[in-house]
Amino acid sequence: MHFDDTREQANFRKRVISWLEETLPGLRKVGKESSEEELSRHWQKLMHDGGWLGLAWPKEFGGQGLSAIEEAIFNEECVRRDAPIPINLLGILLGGPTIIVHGTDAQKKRYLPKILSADEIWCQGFSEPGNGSDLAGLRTRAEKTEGGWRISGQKVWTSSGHLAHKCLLLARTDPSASKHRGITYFLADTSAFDIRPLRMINGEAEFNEMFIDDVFVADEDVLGEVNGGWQVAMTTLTVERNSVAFNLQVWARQALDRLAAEVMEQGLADDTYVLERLGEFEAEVEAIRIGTIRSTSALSAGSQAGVEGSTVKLQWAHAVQNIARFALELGAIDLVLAGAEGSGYWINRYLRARGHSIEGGTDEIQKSIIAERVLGLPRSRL
Amino acid sequence: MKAILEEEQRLVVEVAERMAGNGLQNAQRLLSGAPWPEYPDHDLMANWQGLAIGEADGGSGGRLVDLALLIRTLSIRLTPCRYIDHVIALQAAFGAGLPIDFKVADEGQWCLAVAEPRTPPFGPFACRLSNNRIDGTKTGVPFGNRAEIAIIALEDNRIALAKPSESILSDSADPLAEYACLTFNGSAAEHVSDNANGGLLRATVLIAAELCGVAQGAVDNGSAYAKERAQFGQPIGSYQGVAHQLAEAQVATETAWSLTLYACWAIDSGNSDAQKAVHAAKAKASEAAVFSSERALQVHGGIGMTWESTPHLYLKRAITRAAVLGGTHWHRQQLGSALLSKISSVS
Repeated sequence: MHFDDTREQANFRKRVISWLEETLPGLRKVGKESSEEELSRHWQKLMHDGGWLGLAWPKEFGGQGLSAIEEAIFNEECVRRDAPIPINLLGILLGGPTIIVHGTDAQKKRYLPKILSADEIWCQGFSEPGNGSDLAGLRTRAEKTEGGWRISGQKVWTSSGHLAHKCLLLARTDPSASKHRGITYFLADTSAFDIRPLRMINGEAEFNEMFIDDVFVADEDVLGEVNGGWQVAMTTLTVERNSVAFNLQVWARQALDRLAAEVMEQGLADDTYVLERLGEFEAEVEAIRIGTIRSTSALSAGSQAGVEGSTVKLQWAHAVQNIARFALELGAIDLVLAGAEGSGYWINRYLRARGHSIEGGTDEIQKSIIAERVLGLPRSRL
Repeated sequence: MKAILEEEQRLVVEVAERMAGNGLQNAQRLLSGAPWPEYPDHDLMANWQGLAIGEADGGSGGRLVDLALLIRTLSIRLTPCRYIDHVIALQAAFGAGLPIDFKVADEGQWCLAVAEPRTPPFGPFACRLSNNRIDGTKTGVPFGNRAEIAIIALEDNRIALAKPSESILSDSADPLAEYACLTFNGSAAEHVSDNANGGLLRATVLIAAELCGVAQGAVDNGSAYAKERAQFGQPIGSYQGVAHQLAEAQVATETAWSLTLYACWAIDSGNSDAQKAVHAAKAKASEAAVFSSERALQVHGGIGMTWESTPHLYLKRAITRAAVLGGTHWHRQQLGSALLSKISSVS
């Protein structure tokens, strides 16, 4: 059992760091004059040109044929340096890996290279206004027609929806079947979707709602089997919980280090209660880092992605929420006055963090997954 | 990174599972007045006391994580054994650089004596070493009543090997363990080292490993009951109010185990993080063990309050061991201070 880099991993990390340190300063200069979106677009192009995208994808589809560990190392070093998020994050994190597992050769050829080049940007059409945690109850309908399907319905909480060309879309294709068996997974074009931004409690607009009215999707854009979409969706959700873990641990670390700096600035370094809370957070943030190293090691040694993602997601949401709340509890009034000079960070972080125990599967859903799959308790939902 | 169990580590777990086999039954028998069971102590003492001690030092090699796996696995079933405390004393001696005479270790129980009445966990200590003689009192010494040899923590980061003059058995909350108060009246210090910390780190992380086992055992115990006990026509484990408590306990247990594995590795590889990692592991393992045993008891309902039931055995082990080698509060504070000194050295 080794927690440090092997020699090859250390060499790979060195190459990553030297590329990032060469590339990021130039990008930051460009960034001053451009929007976040342009910056993300430009960043993905740089990553693509440098051969850093799709590190764990097969070479024949534009990937680099490495393992989950190299991908994790690359992501970790990026987040550490506050690199932007690539514009096609969901295509890279979710769409590509799901297509690699379930796609036909034609689908892989057709879609994977364009995900990496960001010629096609992806979003995820899973949640609906009436069906969040009860994903399998989704009501968006697909009716069979000549050469394909006509789809109608409504989706919500769609990150990147306003940028997307393509959507990982779940729709009901057999209303008479039991709810998990009548769903199909489509690779849909979003050009005919009506997409509207939603404003979050911190004022930002990260996600959207999508109205889909009689939109055609061709037969060749069904991913996996017709009515077999639930299994394909499970791949996407498992990938979602596992692949973001390395970013999560660095985000949590950044928040905690910032809290520690705040504590010192406010002259609370000798307060034993404050020290105890910091210690608690430190242990939690370390556990996320170590747990992620363990699950990534297991993945690259050939294990199937399991429920580790649920554990990390619960730990992360809990840690970041508590860190942000404690920063506000320290009681400096300028921390809650968003907009005062340099003070927006904590109130924004606190408000945004309330979503961490909701997005990507609520805490309650993650606990049910652990209860059923790790502890073997009976299923509590139908 | 290759943070997965290696072949020989999986073997350690297998062997330990076999030895732990009917640990809980042994525990129940012990409670109803049976004498201390010879199995698996006999096998453990004969074959496993040199684990994680280099061959050059008379041990049988292997890493600290191997021993942590062995201890965790035994503790999942609360297998009554004196081996754990014996081997923790050997590890404290080894980590501090005290020579270990395995012929002596074969003969009888060793114990690690650190705590003193109303003193912070790692001193300042009142036990004195002068002219190579030790005077003073140590309390809460696991199996100190049966020990031939004590490893004694002293002032100024010193630690010594000596024979206690007298021992008094304490009334332990944990009915499956024995704790004693040891007195040293001018006992000869056979060996002295000035690296107590090196030994106490190893001992502390092994207590964390034990607590991880207790935590996992409690979760397993609560889950087994939740599958079988029915109310309102359903197994109670199908209710989220029950299932989610156990899931939370499982997450806490996994958190503690990750920290413990890392701390073992950090000590073994001489990583500069080791001290911090041990604080984190001990704090979270204590928390997880207490939390999980409380959940297991709650899930058992009224039965969980009876002497014949199992959850209280986990709870008592958790509460007691959480207080050995530094309580949760103390380890968290140390960790908080370490974080602040890291941040202030960067800025």
